[in-house]
Amino acid sequence: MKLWALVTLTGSVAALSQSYAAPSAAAHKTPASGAIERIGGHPNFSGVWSVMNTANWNVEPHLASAALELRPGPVVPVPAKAVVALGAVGSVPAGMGVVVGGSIPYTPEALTQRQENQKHYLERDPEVKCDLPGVPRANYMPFPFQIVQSAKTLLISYEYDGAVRDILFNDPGPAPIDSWMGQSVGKWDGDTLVVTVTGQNDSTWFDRAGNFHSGDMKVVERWTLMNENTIRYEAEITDPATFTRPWKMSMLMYRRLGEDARLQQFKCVEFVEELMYGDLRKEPLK
Amino acid sequence: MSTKKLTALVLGATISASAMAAASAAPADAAYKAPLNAYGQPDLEGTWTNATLTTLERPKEYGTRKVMTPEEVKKVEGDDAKLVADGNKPTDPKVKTTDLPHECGRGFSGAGCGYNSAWIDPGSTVMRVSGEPRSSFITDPADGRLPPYKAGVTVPNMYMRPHYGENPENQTLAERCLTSFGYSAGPVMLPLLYNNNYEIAQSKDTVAIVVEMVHDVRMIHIGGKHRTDGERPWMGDSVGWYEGPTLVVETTNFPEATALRGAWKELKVTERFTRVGPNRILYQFKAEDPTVWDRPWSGEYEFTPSKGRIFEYACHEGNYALEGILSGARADEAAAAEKAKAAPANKTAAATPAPSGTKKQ
Repeated sequence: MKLWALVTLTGSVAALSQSYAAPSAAAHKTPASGAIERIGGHPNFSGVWSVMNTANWNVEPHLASAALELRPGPVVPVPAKAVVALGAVGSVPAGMGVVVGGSIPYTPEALTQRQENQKHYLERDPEVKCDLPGVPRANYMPFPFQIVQSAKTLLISYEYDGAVRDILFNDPGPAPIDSWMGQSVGKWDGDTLVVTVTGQNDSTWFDRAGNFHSGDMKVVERWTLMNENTIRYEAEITDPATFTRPWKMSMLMYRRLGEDARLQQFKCVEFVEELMYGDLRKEPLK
Repeated sequence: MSTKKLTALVLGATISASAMAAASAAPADAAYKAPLNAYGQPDLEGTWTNATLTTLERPKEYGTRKVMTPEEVKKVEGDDAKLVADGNKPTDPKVKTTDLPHECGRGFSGAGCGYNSAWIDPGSTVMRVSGEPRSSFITDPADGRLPPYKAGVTVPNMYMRPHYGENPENQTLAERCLTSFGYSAGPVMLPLLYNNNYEIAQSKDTVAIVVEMVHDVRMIHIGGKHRTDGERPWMGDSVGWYEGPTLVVETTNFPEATALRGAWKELKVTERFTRVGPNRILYQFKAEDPTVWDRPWSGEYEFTPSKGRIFEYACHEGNYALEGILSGARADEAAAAEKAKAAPANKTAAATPAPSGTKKQ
């Protein structure tokens, strides 16, 4: 992962956020240092953002471990055969967790399912197959995302797999069909953007630790700019089929500045073809 | 529940992905003043479509005539309506793919005719530019067709690829769910058989164009500079600027995988988006690659508002077709091998009757 230098804002955010760009002739008004820019009467979230946590490995507090999937060893569990060649690269970095209160209130049945998911991580995590990540996971994957906001539109474009969300400010009613990224309906609560996400399918996970949900999950996100370069992000998860009560995640997101503020592409579909279709080649690799 | 996708099972269809070509003038509705957004930029936001019966290149019978007569429009739109009506008739469940018609319009034949009209949405009208019904998107050259290719330039058929069915990488980008079939994201952005919908969002330094297929997002860096590191991202490297009421986008660094009619290495595409009416964006384009064509070519068409918003096109997640194509090819090979194995054995068996009790092959 890149070193994220928090460049001191000495010039326009716009200029800094254009890594390949000279400041344009159509230069924009630079907000005073520290000020939160506004557009259409609301805080302007436009920019490239990412978390600096390990929630995508495990949203709950966790120490570092040898691998995402382990198998019993003679003394302690060891990395599963399929990942052992990765060595330290395949290990899991520690994290303080992002679940408010520390642990997810699973029902007993769902907890068993989570444990099963962990045992069969490699074949079950949708990220392994490059599936769309769903919400909230899209927001804390180890990839940046870009918000494009105007007075009437707020679009979130994720580097991972080209996932995209259009925040609807006119509630169209229930989603007509389930989808991977769901339907996002936004409203403003003062300076906080509140987004209710429904209509997600049951195929996405919260992380690489087998934490999951049902197709009835409702996510209420709260996006608040604490200063011009930091977002406090909260997501309340309600899913009675899986959890005994609603629970929350809370984390910080940071604005990428300078040369880091350019969304790249991570079209991982082609990266998983050998995994998914390798056995169907005319001459499968030995 | 898994979102099913419309798998891009486009079998050898040479969809002349339409697009319109253009003159440089951008005549607006009389007295129409393009709105500015809160950043003071021309406001292009919304969901838009370029679905149309008009194609990028002009059918030869029109010659250098870019504007169609009312009779021609009536015939093209009428023929299409009939095609749609025919395609909406229920398919007899007893019909096998081998019974499907050899030609069923839009370049489809055989198994490709398995699409009922409900599954496609290529538009039902001829493209109007400033109210003129157009016979092609391309306006320059005057015959509405791509200029001659340089000697030695080959344009690979994007649908009939060599080693088809042998490996996932031999399949089209669409079958692999990497991009749309045709050239939906562009640039040049060209409509195709269905899902010709786009959403434009603008911040002060970025214009994002969400392309329904395959949830691609074109990120245009306003005031940016082209990358010089030799890397060629999907859909190329787009920078833009505003000229009065027009967003100008210049794209270079195209990857070979998404060559535009054979051009990529030295290809430069310039697009101009101008709001010319409350429900119209004039889209003008110019493509140039002196190593591929004798001269640049350019054209135009208009975007109109989409009906409703864009839904998720989760292609890869439901890509049963790629698995089906590959496993079908393996099954064919296995059957052929079995047949080959059986054939000489039968011949031997016919020549020398097997002794009683010998297990037949």
